[in-house]
Amino acid sequence: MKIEYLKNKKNIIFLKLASQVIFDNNNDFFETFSNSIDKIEKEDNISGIVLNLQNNKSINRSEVKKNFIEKDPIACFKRVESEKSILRRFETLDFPKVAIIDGSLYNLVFELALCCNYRIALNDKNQRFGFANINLGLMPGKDGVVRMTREIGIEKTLDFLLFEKLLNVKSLIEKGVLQNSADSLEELTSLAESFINKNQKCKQPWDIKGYKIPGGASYQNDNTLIIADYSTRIFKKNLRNWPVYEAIISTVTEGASLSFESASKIESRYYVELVTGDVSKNLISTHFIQKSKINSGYFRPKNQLKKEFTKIGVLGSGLMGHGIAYVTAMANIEVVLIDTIKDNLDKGLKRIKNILSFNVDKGLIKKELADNIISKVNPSQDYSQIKDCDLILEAVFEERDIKAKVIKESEKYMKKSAIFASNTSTISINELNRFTSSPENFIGIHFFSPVDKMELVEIIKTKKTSIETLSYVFDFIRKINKTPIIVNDSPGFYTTRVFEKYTCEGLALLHEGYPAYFIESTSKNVGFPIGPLAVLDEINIELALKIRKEIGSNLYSQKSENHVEPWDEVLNFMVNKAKRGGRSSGSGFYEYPKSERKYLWPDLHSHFAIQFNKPDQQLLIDRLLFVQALETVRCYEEGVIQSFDEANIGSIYGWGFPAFRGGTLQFINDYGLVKFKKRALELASKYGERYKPSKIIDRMIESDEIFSQ
Amino acid sequence: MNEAFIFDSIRSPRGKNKNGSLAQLTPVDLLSKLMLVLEKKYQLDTSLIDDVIIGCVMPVNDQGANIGKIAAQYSGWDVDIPSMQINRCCGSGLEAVNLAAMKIRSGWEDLIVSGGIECMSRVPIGADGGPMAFETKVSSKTNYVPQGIGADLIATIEGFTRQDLDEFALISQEKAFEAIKSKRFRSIVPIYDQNELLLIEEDEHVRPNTSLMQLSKLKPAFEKIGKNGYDDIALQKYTHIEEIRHMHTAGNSSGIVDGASITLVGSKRNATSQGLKPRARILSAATCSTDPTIMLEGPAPATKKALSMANLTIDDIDLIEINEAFAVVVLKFMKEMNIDNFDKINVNGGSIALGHPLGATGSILLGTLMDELEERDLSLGLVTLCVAGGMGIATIIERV
Repeated sequence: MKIEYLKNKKNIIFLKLASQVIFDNNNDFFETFSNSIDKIEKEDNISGIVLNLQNNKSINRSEVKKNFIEKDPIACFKRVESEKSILRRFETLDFPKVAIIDGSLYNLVFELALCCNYRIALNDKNQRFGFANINLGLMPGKDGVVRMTREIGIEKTLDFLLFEKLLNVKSLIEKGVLQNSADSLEELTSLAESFINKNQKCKQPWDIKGYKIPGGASYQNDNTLIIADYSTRIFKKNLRNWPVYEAIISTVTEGASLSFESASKIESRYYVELVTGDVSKNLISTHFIQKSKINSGYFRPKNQLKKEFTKIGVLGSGLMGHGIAYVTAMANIEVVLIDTIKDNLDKGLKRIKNILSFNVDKGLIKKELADNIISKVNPSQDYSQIKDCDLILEAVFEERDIKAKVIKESEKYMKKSAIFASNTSTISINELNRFTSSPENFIGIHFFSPVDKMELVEIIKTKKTSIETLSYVFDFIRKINKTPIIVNDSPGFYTTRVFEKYTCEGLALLHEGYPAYFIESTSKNVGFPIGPLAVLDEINIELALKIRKEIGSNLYSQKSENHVEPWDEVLNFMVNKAKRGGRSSGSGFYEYPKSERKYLWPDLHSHFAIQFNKPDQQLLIDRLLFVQALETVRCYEEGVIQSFDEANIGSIYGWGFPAFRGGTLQFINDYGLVKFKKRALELASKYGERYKPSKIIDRMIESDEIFSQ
Repeated sequence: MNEAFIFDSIRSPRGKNKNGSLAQLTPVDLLSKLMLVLEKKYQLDTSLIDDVIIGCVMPVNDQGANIGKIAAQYSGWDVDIPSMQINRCCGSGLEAVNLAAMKIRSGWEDLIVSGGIECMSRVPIGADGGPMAFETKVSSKTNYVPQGIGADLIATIEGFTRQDLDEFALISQEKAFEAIKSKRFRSIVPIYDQNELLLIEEDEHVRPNTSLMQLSKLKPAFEKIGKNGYDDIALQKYTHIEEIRHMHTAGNSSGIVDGASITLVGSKRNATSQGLKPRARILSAATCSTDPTIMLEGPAPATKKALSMANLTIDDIDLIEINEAFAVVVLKFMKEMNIDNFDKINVNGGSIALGHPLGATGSILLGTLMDELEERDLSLGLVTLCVAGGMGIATIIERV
């Protein structure tokens, strides 16, 4: 760790923090920075300091990992206070301090910039500055909240920290966080020098007597109303489960009417609470620890050669097929997109073009790149085009017979060594591989919709799938920048099987007589992006019924034939009696008026009468979470899913299990295994076998283990 | 007749204004922490609490909307407990206890948590606005002046000198420091943050090395606003005074601090069923009002009223806690009650040294008094405070 230290002829000290320095070896940053301050204090005739901060966009991994293991609030508080004191020492040096920003700055480095009296940045619309760590449940903890509040006032600070999080140069100048910008480093340097020349002594505004926060303290002007408005918006955006948002509001509003020192301590206290709490640990674990482990190939078969893919065949140009073709082309791989129906092919190609032009408009990719990507997709109606492909991915209609036909047809043209993958969310791979003569080259891939956005891919192997095939497909998924989890073939695989528990539980609750609005709102309070009834409408209720038959017929075959599960009854009623198949059919659990917002079908409760007028919300919360956690444990016990990491990541990235809960298995850890088992047994006695905890939980309690590797 | 007993009185340390240790805590957190300490200390079945009465003088913003109720809920106390916030200005904390005693003596209720809170760092004086000071037509019609002006007016009328006031302030500091050193404030509970890190365990406003010299150098605090017009408003009423001599300073006036206190009051019935031991009984409680402009002359008339109710004289009282809102308040009280030494008065110092968290002080003084009566094995004690608007409040207790 090094901070470049240079004193020029004009007696200006340049401290340069090169890109990545802090992140790769962050532990001694504060010590080094403190040493630099010592050195500055020993210098004579200093006219000013320039802090040159270079691109530090990547999220601070070592910082994040350190937070992840930090559990002791006393030690954490001490650390934060001592780190803060170093920044504060820098900030209160008597000379003018200028931050020259040359590249995006996130988190700590951005907080460093805030310690300077004058902050100027290179003009570049792609640069972003701010606090990406908020998305990991952490807030600025080096007086960033305190300084920002004092610089721009309560309202703008809340806007930035709660919602904007990252902004570009222009917006930050408008906000008053940055003071100026220029097109070159030379210009920035001369701006810095002229600032230093004009300001021989420099204090932060908040260190000058009589300073008042712009817009006033919390209870001045209309600030109480403004703060209340932000709290409501947090509530509405369903972010209450994230303590970071409340902590930010508290830090901003509480600190605004107090001294810098008190405000700073308040910030530290909330920060410590966040760092040592479950939510940030779960988010860090999800987005960094476990995901990195999976993406780095921890679960890829060992000692297998890496395969480069030059050409891929995608069969079927529908909803999934076009998406798969798009992400493959984005990874610079040639794609043959085949659909026997010309119209489908055109539609698929159009959709790819739409995604590309959307991204070009947004400034996410350049026009030339978009043209290059589209040129990699070769549409064709002719199956023989797959002859030189290394991997053929079929994404035709989710129907066993159609898939069988496509598999057989492809075999006529495929290279002998090529891998064939079926994209399916439910159809057994062991059934599909009967239609191929080389089942060792056959595998299942489960992409999620929309393919261009969803990060997770479930790879489904059978006993016959060869290790080479598995590792090649793993490499392909990584190449297209997705996160692969490997599961063994079984009805519904992992994600569909557990996710289905969520929707079925929603239907069971409806069947038992809980108000539909209450089921939906409770699910959102739990942290799910969408309620079980709304999501069934999106999937299409008919399809859900089909999936039920597909999975249900295999999984619960031991049940007597006359027994009808409540969720099947509801699904059957909706499809066959009410003729309401979901959003795509125009009506489902919700009504979809053309120009208005959807609303719950008013007649729903005349078929499923409300029995609970004052329902117990905690019970519903427990049921919705437990049913998924328990099914995940079963999947693990049966070997469908093979690691805790994949189970957690699969649940979060696959079907939107709340990330702040850390995944379906981490949920059990946080709940406590003993308590979890007790509650599960209670639920089982009242609501059925699906709540009965697996034996593995007993074993883990006995050996004092948790679901963590 | 039912008797009202005090089972316990606990309080937070008093934290310095703005930069003090309690400034980092919200008022509801502070109050709730005391509630939880009380609950834990006696394994209290909170469902038996009939009412929570909390005095708060700036019951707005952080302290707004009936802070006692939300603090009880926030503490996880039984939802059946009602609560009210009361505001008898600086007498609020004691009024809460008195009101609790009255409820108990009526026989209608059996167990009440009373007390007060004021986090002045967070909700400063004036935060509640109000027509008394902020509505021109009202304040001019009623000759409103800030309390400091009233304090200087009393000192001027009664002929106290700056040295009288500073000497009293010094005594307050010395006694308070001695009391802290010898751990006399047994009612204090240490306050921790949400991570169980210690925030404060002792009163922090006291200045141990205060000298008369230092005190004499401080600038009169209310001269400037007096000269800006408030003196004229006061003198419009007090026509016999030519000029107000401004003598009160930050050194001989009460300190602005954060603090809270709760006092558990109840009937004998509850004492036995809950395993609570009465420490004192409340013999009498009185309030009064005097001239609202001069504002600070309530303690003596309130005390006389309370003494007469209890069939006592001031000589019967073993110890007195009188709030040191300003040095002159105590001196004027002593003069009016014919008390000529400090033997019984504020033996552990007072608000000048320790600070005056408005709504909490009454309950704090009661706890201090009860601790000291026990310490010295004495029987009768008096708590009295001057109250804004010219009011006064007094409570007499007897150890059991």
